[in-house]
Amino acid sequence: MWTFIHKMGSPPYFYRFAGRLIPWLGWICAGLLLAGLYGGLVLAPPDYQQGDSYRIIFIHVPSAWMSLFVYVVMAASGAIGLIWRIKVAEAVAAASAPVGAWFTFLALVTGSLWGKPMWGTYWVWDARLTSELILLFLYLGVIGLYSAIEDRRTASRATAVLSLVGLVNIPIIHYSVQWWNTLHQGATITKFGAPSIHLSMLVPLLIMAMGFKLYYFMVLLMRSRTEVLERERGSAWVRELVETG
Amino acid sequence: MNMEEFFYMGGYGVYVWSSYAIWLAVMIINVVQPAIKARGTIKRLARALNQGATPR
Amino acid sequence: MRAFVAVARRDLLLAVRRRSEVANPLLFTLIVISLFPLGISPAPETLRLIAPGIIWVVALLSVLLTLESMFRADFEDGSLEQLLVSPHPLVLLVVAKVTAHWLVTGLPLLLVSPLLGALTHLNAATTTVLAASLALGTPVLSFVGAIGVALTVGLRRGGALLSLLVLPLYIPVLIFGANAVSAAMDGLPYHGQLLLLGAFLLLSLTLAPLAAAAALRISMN
Repeated sequence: MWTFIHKMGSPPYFYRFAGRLIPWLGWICAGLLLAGLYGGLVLAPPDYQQGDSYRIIFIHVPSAWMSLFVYVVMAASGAIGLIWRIKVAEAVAAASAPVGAWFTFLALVTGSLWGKPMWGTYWVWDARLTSELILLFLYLGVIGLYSAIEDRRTASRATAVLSLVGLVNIPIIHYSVQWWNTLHQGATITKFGAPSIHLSMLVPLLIMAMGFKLYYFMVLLMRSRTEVLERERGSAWVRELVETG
Repeated sequence: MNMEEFFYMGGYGVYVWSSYAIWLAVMIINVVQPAIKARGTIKRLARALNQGATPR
Repeated sequence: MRAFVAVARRDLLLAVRRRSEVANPLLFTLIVISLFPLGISPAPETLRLIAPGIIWVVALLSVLLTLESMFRADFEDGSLEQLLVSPHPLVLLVVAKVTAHWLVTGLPLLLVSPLLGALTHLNAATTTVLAASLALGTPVLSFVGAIGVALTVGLRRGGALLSLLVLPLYIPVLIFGANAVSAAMDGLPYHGQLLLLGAFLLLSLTLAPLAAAAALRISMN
C-alpha cells in the first residue's frame, strides 16, 4: 500500500490514475445520489412536526458534513505538501478549497431555505448556521490568499499554514458560537437531530452522504489533474501528453 | 405519494424544490467548470508548445 | 533574551517617535464609540445594553488597523530579511514584535477603557470586568493577527485580505470578551468567560509565534 501512495505522489502517475478513476466515481456517485433521492423524496414519510419541508435535510446535512470533511482534507494535504514538499498534495489542497466553499455555500443556502418554513425567517443566527458562515469565510480566506500569491508553490505553502491555523480554530469557533447561541436561544428549540431518527430517513441520508463524498473525490481529482498539469507544464511528460492529446 | 403531492410537498414545495434546484445547479457547475478548464489548459499548453516556446 | 529586548525596544522607539501610530487607533476607537449614541440612541439603557459588543468590535477593528505595522515597515526597508537570517530564533523575535505591538495598541486601549465605560454608562464594577477582558483578549488579537500579517506581508494590497483572514479567528475572543462584560452587567457569573480568554491567551502565546514564524519564512521566499 505504501508503494501505491508513493506512486501517487508522482505527478504523471497521479494524472493517469486519477483519469482512469474519475468515470468510475462518476457512475457510482450518480447511482448513489439517485437511490438516495428516491429514498428521501419518495419513500420516506413526512415528518410529524415539519411535514415535507424536512426533506431538505437530504442535501443540507451531507453538504454540511462535506464542508467540514473537505476542510480537513485541505488542511491535511496542505500539511503534507508543506512538510514533504509533495506537489500532488499541494495540488489536492488547492483543488479542495473551492469545492469546500461550494459545499459550505450549499449548506448555508439549503439551511436558510429550510429555516423559512421552520423558523419563519430566511436567516437565523443559530449556532450551526453561524459556524457554517464563519467556515465559509475561512474558505474564502484560503482561496483569496492562494490567488494573491503569484508563485504557486509559495501560495500552497502559505495557504497550508493558513488552513492549519484555521483547522485548530474550527473547534474553538464552533464551541464558542454554540455557547453563545445557547444564551440567545428562543423558546422553541427544534432539534431535528434528536436521538431517534427514523430508519426510513436515516438510510437515504447516509446514502446521500456517501454519494456526496464520491462526488467530492471525483471533482477533486478533476481539478487536481488540471492543477498538476499547470504546475508541471515545463516537464517532459506534460509535453508528451499535450502533443498526443 | 402521487405526482401532485410530490410537487406540492405539503405546502413547502417552493422551499424544497428551490433547495434541490440550487443543489443540482451547484453540482453541475462543479463538474462542468473543471472539465472546461481542463480542456482549455491542454489546448493552451499545446499551442504554446507548437509555437516552440516553453509554455509559460 | 537580549535579542528579544532589542527587537521590542526598537519597535517601541519607532512607535514613540511616530506618535500618530499610537494616537490614531485610540482616536479611532473613541470616535467610533461616539458614533453609536449618534446613530442609535443616547439613552443610557440602550448604550449600556450594546456597550460590551460595540466596545469589543471597535477594539477588534482598531487592532486590525494597526496590524500591518508589525512587519510591513521592516519588509519595505529590508530589516525583515535581517531578522530572518539572524542567529536568534525567529519565534523569539516574533514574540518580541507582538509584545511591542500590544504595548502600542492593546495597552492604550486597556488604559482608556474606563473612559469607554463612562461614555457608555457602565458602572465601576462592569468597567473593571471590561478592563480585565481587554487585558486578556487584546494580546490574543495581537498574537493571532501576527499570523495574518506574516502571511500577507509580501503582498501588494494585503490589507483587505488581511481582514478576511484574521477576523474569523477573532470571533471567539469577541464572543467571550463581550459576554464577560454583559454577564457582569447583569450580575451573572463571568469568571468562566475570563478564564477562557486566559486559555486563548496561553494557546495563542505558545502556538501563534510558531505559525507566524513559518509564515514569515514562506512569505519572504
